[in-house]
Amino acid sequence: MAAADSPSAALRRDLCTRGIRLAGKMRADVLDLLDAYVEQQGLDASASVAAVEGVPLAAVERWDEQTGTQRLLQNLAAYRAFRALLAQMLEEQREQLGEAEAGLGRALAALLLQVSAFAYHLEELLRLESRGVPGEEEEEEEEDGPPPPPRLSLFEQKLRGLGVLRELAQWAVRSVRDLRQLAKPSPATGAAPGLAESP
Amino acid sequence: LSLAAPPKEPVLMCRSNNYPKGFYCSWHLPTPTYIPNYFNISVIHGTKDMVCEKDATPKNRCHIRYLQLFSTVKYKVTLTVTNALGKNFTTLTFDEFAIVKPDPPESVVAKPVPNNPRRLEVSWQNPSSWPDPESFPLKFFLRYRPLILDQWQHVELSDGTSHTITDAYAGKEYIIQVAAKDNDIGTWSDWSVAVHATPWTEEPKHLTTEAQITETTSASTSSFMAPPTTKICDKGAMVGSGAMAVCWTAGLVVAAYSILFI
Repeated sequence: MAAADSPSAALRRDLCTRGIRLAGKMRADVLDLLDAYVEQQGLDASASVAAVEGVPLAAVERWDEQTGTQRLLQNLAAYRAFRALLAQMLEEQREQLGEAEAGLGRALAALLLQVSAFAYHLEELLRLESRGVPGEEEEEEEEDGPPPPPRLSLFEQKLRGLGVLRELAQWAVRSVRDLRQLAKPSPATGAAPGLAESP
Repeated sequence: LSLAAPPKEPVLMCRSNNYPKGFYCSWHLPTPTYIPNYFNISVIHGTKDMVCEKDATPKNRCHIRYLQLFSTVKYKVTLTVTNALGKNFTTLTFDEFAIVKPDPPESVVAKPVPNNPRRLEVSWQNPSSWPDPESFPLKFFLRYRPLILDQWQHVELSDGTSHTITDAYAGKEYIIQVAAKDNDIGTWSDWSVAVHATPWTEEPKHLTTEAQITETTSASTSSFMAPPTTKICDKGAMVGSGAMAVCWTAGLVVAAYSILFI
């Protein structure tokens, strides 16, 4: 006799499904914003941007071997970082540019909201599993150590912005894949697997 | 007599039809050289050299396993061809997502739906080369048209491997194809092998009257056989005479069936 889904398994699957939709929408909006950003900042769309300090890289080895907890924690850390990076981009945008790029500013602000909402969604998933949600205060304390990096030139800011958006687009795809893995029922019981288990 | 020639710039193609396992590259020369050619391929991802393992067949192909997923760093593939008269090369640079293109769906089947003259039921399977459709689901694009028309109808389907066409023209043979794409990245596959199907049609039946007139068997009309106790119409409502005499009611029924076959 097949085991019925537990309420928490059903809730997790529901959260994962909604998260997948959020991430999919986020990716579509990032790609649109990337096109506008490249054009308005006068950048070359095919330009390679070196990895910038502080931008979380979506690239991962042995992705299929990650546990559910690892997936959630890495996603949460990434989107918290993107929240801060996008807020910084928005601030720089307001300083640099006037009315001509107001549309870009609005798009950045909307994306910042989506990223914040997705980070919250990930926290809900972690709470559901009775996992401790890492506090952002702990992350801030760790950052008190080294001195802040020197302020970037205008061109460096633009390139970093390009890197942030490109990496965010990759993360959005990775998040969809991660949430699909999390939503999979366990083959033994039909219920969702525990997050400590692989995958 | 064909003259030996140095190689022209080779044609190189790279594609991932088994994402996320890896991708393959294949190549050929645009024109023959008539002497042996030697190919060497290098694949670089950022600063890392990757091994492209040659396939046993075909000989002009090799495959690479992904060591990382979701990377923004581009892949650079360089193919060099050398023969006794010279050398040439070509380079491809691409993103991980850009080359993802599944093989076409397999086992496409189209069947009529009993008692539904405007429906066709279509089903297919994921391409067998796609390693993990549960974690990396495919979406599908179905196209269909009656053979007598050139215009295709299109339907995009985000889940499932079946679809019921509900607007087929009655009695017309259809041609149907399906394509696949990863739900999130990459490009559409080529179209599947085409299948043909014709919607269900009712078999012609015989029309009888109280006078037991034999059936009319015109190719463009349909008639039905009424049960022996069924009274269809009165003698006074008959028109015509002899074997072709029919009553108005029966005539209207015949006309109605005739319209179905236009």
